[in-house]
Amino acid sequence: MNAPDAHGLLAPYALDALTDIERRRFEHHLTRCETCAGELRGLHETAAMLGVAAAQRPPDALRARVMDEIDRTRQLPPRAGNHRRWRWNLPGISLLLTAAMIAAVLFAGFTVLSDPERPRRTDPQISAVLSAPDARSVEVRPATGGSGTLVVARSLNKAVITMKGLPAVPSGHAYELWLLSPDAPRPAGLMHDTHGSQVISAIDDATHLGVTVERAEGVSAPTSPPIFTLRLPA
Amino acid sequence: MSEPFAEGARFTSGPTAEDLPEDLSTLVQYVACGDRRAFELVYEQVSGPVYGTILRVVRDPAQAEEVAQETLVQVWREASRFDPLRGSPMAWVLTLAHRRAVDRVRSAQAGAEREQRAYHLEREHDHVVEEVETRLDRERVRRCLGGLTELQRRSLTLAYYSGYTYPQVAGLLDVPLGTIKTRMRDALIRMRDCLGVDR
Repeated sequence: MNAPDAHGLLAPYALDALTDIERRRFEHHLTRCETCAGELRGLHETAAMLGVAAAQRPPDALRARVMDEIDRTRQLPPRAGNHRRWRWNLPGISLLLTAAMIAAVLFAGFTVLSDPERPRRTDPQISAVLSAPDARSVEVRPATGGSGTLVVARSLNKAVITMKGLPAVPSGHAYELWLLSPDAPRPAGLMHDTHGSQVISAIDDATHLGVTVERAEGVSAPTSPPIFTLRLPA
Repeated sequence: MSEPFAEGARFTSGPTAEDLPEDLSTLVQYVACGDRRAFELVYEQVSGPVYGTILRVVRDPAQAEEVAQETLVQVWREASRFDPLRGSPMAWVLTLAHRRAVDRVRSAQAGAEREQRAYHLEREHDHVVEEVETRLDRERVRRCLGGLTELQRRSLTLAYYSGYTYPQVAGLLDVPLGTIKTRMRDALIRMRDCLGVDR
């Protein structure tokens, strides 16, 4: 297979749109083509986005069947020479320390995942914000851990924040949300858990959202520095 | 603005130590060492995209579930073969899933016309966080697909979502083979740039 041919087949290959015979020939070509590998990576990532956009929650029974089958499935050993790559991926941190940290947070994460109280149905208010025609979103990544998404619908004067993996707060405390504008911060709701969603109403002229740790019943003005602040999309 | 917000806002966009356990790439490396709990967390993150991708291609929910199970067990079995330098773990997993899905439909139908019936989007057990993330990804992809020409868009979606080979796509759209290859390539590259995918 010569180079121009190969170039033309990269996209169909990334989309699994080659016939069996062409796929095999092309894979053979790939083992010798340095420039292909670089371009293919981006094409595979793009194709994967098409897959992510098609995500559907699988039937609950699938999980048990998969877990059951992996218990009976022997794993392939790593190919020789993989170790250096691994270290590359975890720069500057000893593997042991990383393992301990991960084990600790995995455990915490687990409690969250197995929590039977987690929301199972979408609150109509949340759905309204998500499907508003002017809904804009921002990724939330507090330096202190966890991640989430803030979706703002100015037409509804509302927003929804969803967070997961937040550090646990001391007992008797909660995360309090604040709408920040040129005036004093306005309380915008409490999150009592390390994960969950909160509808924020009456955004009005707020430009930022801030989050502090406060007493569980909430306070009328923040008493501690923010865990994070976030600019609201206009 | 009152004192607490005057300074010390620590919002960042960079990863931190606490993000590690949510980082799919790290989790997959723990799975490679036989960590069953890490696998459960991987399952949480990838099972929706895996099942959804396969369902789009094979259409039949019972078959989609079978193929999803095979794919997820393959992720467990071959976790040691995942190489973070060659791409993201989600792309690795979805490449396995999509490949299995098209293999299933092509072997099952062996050239026969595939049923093109629609399926219902049953989302009985929605999780809000998942829904928000999926919705946003879906929205971005939809917007970017909207920026393609009709021929680019159809050649991309017939290949990826319907699982057709490029000669089949060429036949369906009645355009020469060479044109289809070019359109697929243009479409993927435009999508890549529109979605801001890392190269």
